[in-house]
Amino acid sequence: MKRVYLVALGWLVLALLLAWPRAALSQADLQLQVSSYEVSVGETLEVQLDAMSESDEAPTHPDLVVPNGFEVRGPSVGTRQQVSISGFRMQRQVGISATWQLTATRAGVYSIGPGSVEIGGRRERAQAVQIRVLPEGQGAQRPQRRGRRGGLRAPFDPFDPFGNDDPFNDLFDRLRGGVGGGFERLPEAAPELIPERALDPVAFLDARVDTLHAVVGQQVTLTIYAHGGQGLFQEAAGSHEPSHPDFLAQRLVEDPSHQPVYQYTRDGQRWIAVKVRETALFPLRAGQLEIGPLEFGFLGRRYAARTAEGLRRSSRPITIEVTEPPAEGRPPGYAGDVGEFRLDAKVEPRHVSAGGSIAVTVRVQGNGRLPGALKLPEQAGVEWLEPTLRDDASLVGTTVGGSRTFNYVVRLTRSGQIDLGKLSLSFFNPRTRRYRVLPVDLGQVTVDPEPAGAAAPSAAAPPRGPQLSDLVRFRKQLGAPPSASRWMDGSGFWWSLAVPPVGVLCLAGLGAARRRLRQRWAQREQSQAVHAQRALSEARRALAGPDLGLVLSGAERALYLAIEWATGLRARALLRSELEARLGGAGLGAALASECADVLRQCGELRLAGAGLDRSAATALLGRAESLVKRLLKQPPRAAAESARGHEARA
Amino acid sequence: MNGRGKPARAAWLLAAVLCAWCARLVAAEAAPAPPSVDLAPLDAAIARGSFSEAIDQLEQWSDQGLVHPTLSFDRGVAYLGRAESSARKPSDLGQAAAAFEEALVLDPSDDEARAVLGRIRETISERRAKEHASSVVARPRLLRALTGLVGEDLWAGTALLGSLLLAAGLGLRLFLRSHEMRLSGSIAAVTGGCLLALGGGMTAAGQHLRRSFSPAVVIVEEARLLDAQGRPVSVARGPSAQDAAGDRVPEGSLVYIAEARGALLKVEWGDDMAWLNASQVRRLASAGPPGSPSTAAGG
Repeated sequence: MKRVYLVALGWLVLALLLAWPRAALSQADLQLQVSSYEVSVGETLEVQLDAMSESDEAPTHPDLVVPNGFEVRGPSVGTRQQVSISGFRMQRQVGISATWQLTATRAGVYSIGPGSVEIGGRRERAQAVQIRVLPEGQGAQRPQRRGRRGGLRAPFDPFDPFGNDDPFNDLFDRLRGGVGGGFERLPEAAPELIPERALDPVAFLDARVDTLHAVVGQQVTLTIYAHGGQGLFQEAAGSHEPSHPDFLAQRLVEDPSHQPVYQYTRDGQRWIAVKVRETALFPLRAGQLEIGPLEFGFLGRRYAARTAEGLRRSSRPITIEVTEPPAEGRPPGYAGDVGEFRLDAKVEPRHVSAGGSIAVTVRVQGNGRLPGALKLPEQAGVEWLEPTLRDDASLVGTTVGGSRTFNYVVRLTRSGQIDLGKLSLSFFNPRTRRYRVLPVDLGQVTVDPEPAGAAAPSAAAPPRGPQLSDLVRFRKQLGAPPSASRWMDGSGFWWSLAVPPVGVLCLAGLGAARRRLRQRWAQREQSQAVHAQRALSEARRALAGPDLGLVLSGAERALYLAIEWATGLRARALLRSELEARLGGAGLGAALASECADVLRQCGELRLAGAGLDRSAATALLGRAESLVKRLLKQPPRAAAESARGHEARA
Repeated sequence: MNGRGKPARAAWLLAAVLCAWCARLVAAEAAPAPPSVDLAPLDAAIARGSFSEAIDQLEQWSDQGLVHPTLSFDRGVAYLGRAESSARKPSDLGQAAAAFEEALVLDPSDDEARAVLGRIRETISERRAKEHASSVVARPRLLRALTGLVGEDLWAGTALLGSLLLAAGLGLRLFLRSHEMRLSGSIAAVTGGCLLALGGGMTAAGQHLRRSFSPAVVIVEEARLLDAQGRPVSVARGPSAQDAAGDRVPEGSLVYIAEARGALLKVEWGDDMAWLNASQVRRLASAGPPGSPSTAAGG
């Protein structure tokens, strides 16, 4: 009996062993992978969902939950088949591999996924993956290239084109060792790839852009080639990516190890060239925008084998002149789309009940950054819900493009024959330098009145309250605009403030000045200096006449007045004998006093000569008198000062 | 007395000339011709609920430099209509507030724009209250509050009156001999001087604020205040903010731009200065002379 139980148990274990793999694989095998766990804003991340199913039904409808903060392209879906031996069974699995390209638009930590597929009517989900998005320009760590030291191996590695799997193997060493014409086996570089001169005798980077002038939103392709003159090299870890804060970037070359290696000879030296970076850049603003240098490490025996950083070289920074698309001819509602696009739309169904919905599917295809929104034909009773987007990115050469499908759900709340109008897309074509508006006529939809049963709830809905837009009405007439400038803005206002009081003050000042001038004039009229000058003038005039006595009296009078001006003394009242001493005592110099006394004495003597007066003597005397008057009048006016002092004393 | 009669007559003549000059100064300039645009299609678009079509056209005119209070008002109507339609976009109410604020800047006598702007701000406050967002009350800067007390026109008029009064007082004081007249002149001169200083000072302050700052309106739900490096300010911003939400500026708020640096704008918010992201505010067009901060591009 016990033996029977043991046999039964053995059969049971065998059955379980046979059934176990099937049970284990009856669930779909889903795996979500990302190309990098850390990217920076503007960089593109590749997310791959591998779904394998043991059943005959292949997984379909791959889906990926992507948080806000990413632009999504894809998925591109490929089919896979896998045969494996598990336990005692050979198993065949079919599946798909769906790939999305996510471009980060905001920094932060995000959870990508879960990814899901549909298998046999069921939805199977893979785990979510957390990634970190760094601010733009902070240069996220690039994923380690696979295939060198463990892990998956790339199908063809240009850094080891002959498959020796030795990172430090040197191409030229092998050539010298007669491995057999390896250098010549590399394809020859195109002439435009070869720089005019080697920028460095060992290694250098050559950065190029396809255009130096672009408009905002136009694709600028940055291509960077690494040129090595010392044999094979590989990229060292820690490259610093080019900064491009004013551009939105999309990498065109994700892994340089998939790029072909070219050879060329320049000045007798053999070089190899590899495209290490290629990025589509979309300017975000106008101005002189700079693309920073790529800092790249050449790793190889003849470069810098002993350091992990390799031989560091940098590309040159590049400045792009970016302008806004022209204002002339710009259509209303232009949203900044640049490229060349086509538009088609599908509406279904064309017959619904009021309150029902229709689907409007619009597909935009073309080259350039795909538009993010379309211009919708709004109207009352037609409610356009937010569209779901599906992208199918493509690359033609280095031109980014593809198609984007906008799936709109449109709710129709008004019954009748409704013309949906025209949906449109405006864009600027940088090739033709013209704007273009693509309209698509969506046609008409018949909307039946809402069924009676369905209308009841809406009738019971509370009435809509007054809206703000009911407060204002559109103004159809443009009146004359108010004056562009304020009356107090001009300098005239400040002059107006200053001129009245200042004008009155000036007027008062002018009056006072006039009075003072008059007073001065009157005082001047009384001055001995003026009288002395007048007496001299009369003497000069008399010199021409017959009566020379007038010359003497004029000269004498002028001298007396000048003495009174300079000393305050009335010299006429003094005796001739004491004149010189009194003049000296009044402050005149001894010589001057003596000369004054002498001239006055001579005047007296000559006057006694009467008719026998000699004209030459009179002239000489007048000359001396003039000289003395001039010297005396240069003295400070003692007469006025003493007179003033006298007035003060009297006061 | 006879000798003083001539200056007195001259003073009265001067006063008359100055009064005439002031009258000419204050008199409105000839209004420029309105831009020739057809608003009928936009009216029709709004009537059938196609608000975006009207907005696109009005925005294009705005980009082309067409400045007119009616165009700003109509833009506000279009944004307001879309904000209350099924096609609403997040910044529509802020854009409507900006458009009506611009209409008021261009035509301060537009009471309809003032009324609807007040209602929009009330609506935004109510919406924030429903969303349990804290209220933010920002006291205006003292100088701005003073200049805005009676308006720049009135301050300038006060300064002009003060100037004339000062001139008349000085004239009486200096040209007339009568004791009573000289006393009256002194009083008038002192009063006029005070009015001139006050009115002139406030007018100059108003002009300084107008020329150094350009008004703008926040068009996003909340604009976070930043420091000069663009980092968010994480603490309440002083006594003007009533609570911890003082580091955010609500939608529809009026701020004054002092400086633009890259994507950042230095703004006067309440009685303090801070930085905002330029894309979160809309700079208002003004009818000022070209090149003044209000009409310069940006924001």
